[in-house]
Amino acid sequence: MQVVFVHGVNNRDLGDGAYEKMTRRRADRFNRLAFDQTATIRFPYWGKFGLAEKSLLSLPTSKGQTQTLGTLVAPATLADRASIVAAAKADFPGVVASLSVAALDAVSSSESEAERHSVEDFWMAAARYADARPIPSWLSNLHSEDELGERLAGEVGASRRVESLGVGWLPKLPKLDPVAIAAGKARDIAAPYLAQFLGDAMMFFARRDQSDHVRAEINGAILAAAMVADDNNEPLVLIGHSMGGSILHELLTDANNIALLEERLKRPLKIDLLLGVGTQVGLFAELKQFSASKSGRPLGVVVDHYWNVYDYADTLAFLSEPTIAGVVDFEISTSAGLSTAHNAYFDNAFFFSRLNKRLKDAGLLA
Amino acid sequence: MTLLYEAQIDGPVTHAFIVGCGRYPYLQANHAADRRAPVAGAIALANMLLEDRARLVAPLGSLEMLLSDPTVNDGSMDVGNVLGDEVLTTLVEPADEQHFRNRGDEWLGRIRPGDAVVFYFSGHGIADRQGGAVGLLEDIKSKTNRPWAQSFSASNLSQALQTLNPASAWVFFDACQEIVAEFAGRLWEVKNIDLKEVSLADITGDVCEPLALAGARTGHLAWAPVDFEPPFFTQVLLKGLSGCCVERTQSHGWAVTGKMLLFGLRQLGETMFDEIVVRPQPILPYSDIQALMTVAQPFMHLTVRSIPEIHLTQMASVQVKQQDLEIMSSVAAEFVWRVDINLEDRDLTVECVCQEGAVPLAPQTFRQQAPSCLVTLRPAPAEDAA
Repeated sequence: MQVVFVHGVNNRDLGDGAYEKMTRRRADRFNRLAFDQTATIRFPYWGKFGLAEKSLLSLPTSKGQTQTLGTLVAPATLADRASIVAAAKADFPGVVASLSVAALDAVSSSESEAERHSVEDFWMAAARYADARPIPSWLSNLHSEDELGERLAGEVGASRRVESLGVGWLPKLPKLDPVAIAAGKARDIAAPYLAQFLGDAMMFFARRDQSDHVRAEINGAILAAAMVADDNNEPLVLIGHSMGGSILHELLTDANNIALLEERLKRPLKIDLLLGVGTQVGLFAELKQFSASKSGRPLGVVVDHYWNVYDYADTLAFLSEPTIAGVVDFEISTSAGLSTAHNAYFDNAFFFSRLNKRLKDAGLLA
Repeated sequence: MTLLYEAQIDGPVTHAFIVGCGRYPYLQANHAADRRAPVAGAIALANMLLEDRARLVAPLGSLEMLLSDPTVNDGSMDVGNVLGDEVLTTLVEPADEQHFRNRGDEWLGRIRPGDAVVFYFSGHGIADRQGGAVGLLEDIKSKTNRPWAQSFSASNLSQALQTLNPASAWVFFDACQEIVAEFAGRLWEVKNIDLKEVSLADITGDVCEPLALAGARTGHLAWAPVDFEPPFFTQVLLKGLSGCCVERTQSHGWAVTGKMLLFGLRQLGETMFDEIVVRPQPILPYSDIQALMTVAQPFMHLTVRSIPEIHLTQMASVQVKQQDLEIMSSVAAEFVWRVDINLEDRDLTVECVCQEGAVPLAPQTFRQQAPSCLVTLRPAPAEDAA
């Protein structure tokens, strides 16, 4: 399988190796958890053509005045503990998704590949369990966060048939802090992202000279992947996160760009799967921002499967089905982390486990 | 007309009054308080009483019913043929203040000493200042100056029933007992619907003790499925009445009794669902020895789980055995296996047939007893597994 992953906004390579490390680990996670180790993944980098990060002078920052009002820290901490159990009783898969996001995000920076894989595998199994059993019978009598952790660890251990190893090796539940996020951090997290998003979106749609560089970068990766896929008779998968989804949609709609790609390919371009993740494609289609396709179809090339994955908590993710014919929307919701949901897809075990299953159902994976 | 069934029978009979209220146009804006489950619950219980009327210890003498269905804008509801073809009418009047008073009066007027009396309500409910259960009718909060008058006290109604000298009285209240500050904070006692005034002398005579059960505890919420299914407590009640909340009686053989409903419904409510635990609460003290329905073939509801529960899904099958004789077995891998087994005086064993590679679960033996049993299987000790 040949895969091109087009990143969204707020991706900047500062030359310190962090971006390269992030893409390497993301490729490893996709390959292990979703693609069954069959994929070659390319990460074209277009962030260098977007809004410079240091330009965000117009952003206000939290001065912290509001944090001293009210009930201070201890009651909030207690409320968190109660709320996770209560949230689990209301939406068990949503809480498992949120916990997996916290756990996978935390372990992403680990230098130990074994540790990363262990945590990823645990939460993949937890996601499969929660999908199969959205309301466990033990949930109604649950009293504490620790009990939730123990029961979940027990179920996951049993599902992997490794219970005799004991539970000491199982990762502890990550801590969620929804109250703190709601109280003061949401704006600090969301506002810079929104600014980057607005800047990059305006650049791409309104400043053609600058966006040509982006197009060239992505086209290059698509061509390389398509040629290898054709030579090896492999599926071609294009993934776009956030603005990356809109970029891919535009490149595959714009007749001039398609002609350019197909001239260099010397054959019609065919995509097996176009996967949008937390994208604004549906919104931009509704606003008529994309080029008109010559074929009359939403896209100017043949796309066998066009899926759009969104999280209801992600305020930057939009449906595509209502505005673009042929797209199938899939919801993958977390129950917390409103301000971080847009970047949480690739730390969400449900995202990978369900993608893996859908790829198999679609015949793209054996 | 809301009398659905009436039979002229010599001797004691059962008079039932069933109220399902799911339409609340004044309680919250935009019909936010509307529910369909209470209507489904009322219809399901009415159906059982009609179909199984011969099982009632005192055969069915009359069935009065009120329904407020949110899918019908206002007024009466045509229930069609859901209650069979022996009903006097298919048009059921709404569960509002006026109809509750009028039909309630007629219902009480039919009760003769020695009869049995059944009252069922499902809808929204709250707790009064004494912690008693209060049922809310369709037009609750429709009157600016008397917003809570369109309600009734289940406790008062239960006490009123005993003063009519029936042989037995049965009150089932499937509604929340939520504490609502606006109601609790009234300066004067809310003057809502009392179908009968009761004196102290009335209740100090030789009166029956009604079995009066609420589906939720004081201050707690009752729950219902979002689709057109009965509320969860009503589902437990129907299961219990169908033949598992039973004991052997001298007069009627196997019968659903007050004692078994009082204690058995809670036990049954803890085993029937994954999403909710039903914990009924008595509205009045009860220590009578009374039977409501006879049962030809009693059964026990068996729920089998494992810890961790995923182990059970890895079994090829789960079997219930009496010694070496297989009584029943599961047909598909499930997280929870629920099955009804004929009630007999015997020990049964739950055993699993293990798939290759799965963790073996230790068998468990239990004594059959009504109404239900929860068997939790655990991995077999290592030496057993070997």
